[in-house]
Amino acid sequence: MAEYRIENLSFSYTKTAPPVLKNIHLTIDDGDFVCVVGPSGCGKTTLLRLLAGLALPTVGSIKMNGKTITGPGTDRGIVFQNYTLFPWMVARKNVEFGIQQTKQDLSHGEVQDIANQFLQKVKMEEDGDKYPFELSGGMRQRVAIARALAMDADTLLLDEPFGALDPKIRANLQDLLVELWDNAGNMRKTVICVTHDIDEAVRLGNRIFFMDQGTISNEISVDLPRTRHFQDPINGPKMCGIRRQLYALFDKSGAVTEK
Amino acid sequence: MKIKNMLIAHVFLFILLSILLLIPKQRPMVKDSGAMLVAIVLIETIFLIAVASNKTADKGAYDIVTFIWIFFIIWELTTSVYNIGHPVLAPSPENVFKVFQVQWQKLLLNVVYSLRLLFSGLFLGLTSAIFLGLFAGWITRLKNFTQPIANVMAPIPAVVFSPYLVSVMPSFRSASMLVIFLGVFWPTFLTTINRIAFIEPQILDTARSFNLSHSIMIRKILLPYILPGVVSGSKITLTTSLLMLNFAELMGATHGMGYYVQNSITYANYTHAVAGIIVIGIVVTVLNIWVTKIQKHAIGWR
Repeated sequence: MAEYRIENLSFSYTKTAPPVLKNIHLTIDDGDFVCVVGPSGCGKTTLLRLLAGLALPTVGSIKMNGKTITGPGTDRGIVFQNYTLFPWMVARKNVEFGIQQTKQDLSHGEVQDIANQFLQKVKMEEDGDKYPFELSGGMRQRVAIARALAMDADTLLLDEPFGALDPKIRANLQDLLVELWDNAGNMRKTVICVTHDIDEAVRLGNRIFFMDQGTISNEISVDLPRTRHFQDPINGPKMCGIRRQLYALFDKSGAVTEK
Repeated sequence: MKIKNMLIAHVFLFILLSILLLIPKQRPMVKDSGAMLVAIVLIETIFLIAVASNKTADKGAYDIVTFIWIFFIIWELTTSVYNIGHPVLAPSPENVFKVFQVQWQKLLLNVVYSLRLLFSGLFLGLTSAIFLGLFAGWITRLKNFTQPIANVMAPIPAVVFSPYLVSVMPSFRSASMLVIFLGVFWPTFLTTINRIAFIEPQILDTARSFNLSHSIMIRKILLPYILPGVVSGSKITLTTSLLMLNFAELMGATHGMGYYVQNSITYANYTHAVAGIIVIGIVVTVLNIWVTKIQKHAIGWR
């Protein structure tokens, strides 16, 4: 169970630096699948870091279930684009390490059981004894997701989780993520996914926040059944409509264009 | 190619053996060649094992062994056979290898003595450098204070201190241990701090997101992260500390490999000195092989 209430949030790295985030008001409900999209440098990763408690707001507050976030916690599992796994631990140990941090009263056997169970869910049980450098990018992200889920965190915070993967593997992992999220029914975790991939946001989120220059400029609700595919005869055209809307927002945004 | 190289190596071995066994020696006082023959058999055996296990990079082993045989041939010809060099300054190979046979207990004792000092200094230096380095790397204030000091201390060769330390410390043992300690501590300490400073930010963020205690953070995240850097540095550290030890032993020691060589030279016993130098070479080689093995194990995840 995790709902977030962000009030009047501003953030800057130093006292003199211009703010990275300005005046954000936001409510994320329990079980939401939120995607935050926006051009590079708009502050979306910073927002995620604040939600994770890795940085604290300069002004305003973020409340999780009514309590102000004052630091990181195991109730929020994080998956980054790279280096989410500890390279000196094999895949299984990485998952076990996550579990051990949240559930310290479990015996080693129980921890192993849970780790195996979640490695199975992401279809990685056979490669559990490999080091991250021996795994492909997609496999690494599977393990990272397994770890975040095995920790049984209330929230998954994803920062460009599939950004470094080729389109086919990316689609596979998106489907897997949605499936794991959707299967939990009423126990669904809150997922907050930062991405600059418009299609990813359309496929995954039920709410899409568009961020521009440190503020949330638009919100789009996506009330479509899952799993969503652009080729789908019924969903597809609607998804394309949302995609167009987001592209238009990107065009209007104050992003510095590549030269 | 392999057969050709093998053939070349063995032609030289054949020449060496013929010279050793068949040609009469002009130099007087040359001891029997039994010990040298044993050494040759040992080298040949190690060579054949290395070739059979196919681990040695193709041609390297052949060339090295061929070189050794050629060196032995020249050594044998210039000393024992034609008596060109000075009999005291340029000892015969037979006599040098005889030293191993006659004095092996003494040599072994000195090796053990040196290695004991080496490992105690190395162990103290490495553990304290890693331990303190982890804290100094993690706690910014401590780092700002210690890093400049380490930057000054690390490049000063510890050998520079050794004459002073040998006279100042109560015993030679403590002095040479301190020399090794200093030689190991500062570079390792600096490596540790620097590696922590350049840790991947995402690894650090992930670790922090688990809300780890300082103890787990240091033991489970920072320690494994810095180890490969420390271990790969330790190959050089080990060789230099052996060097420092042998250097220190040249002054004021009563045991040890460096002392053995120094003592032999003092009494103009160059036969023993050469034997001692060969032993030091063997010890360094064995230690290097050993560290390489540890290294492979420690950086298995990279």
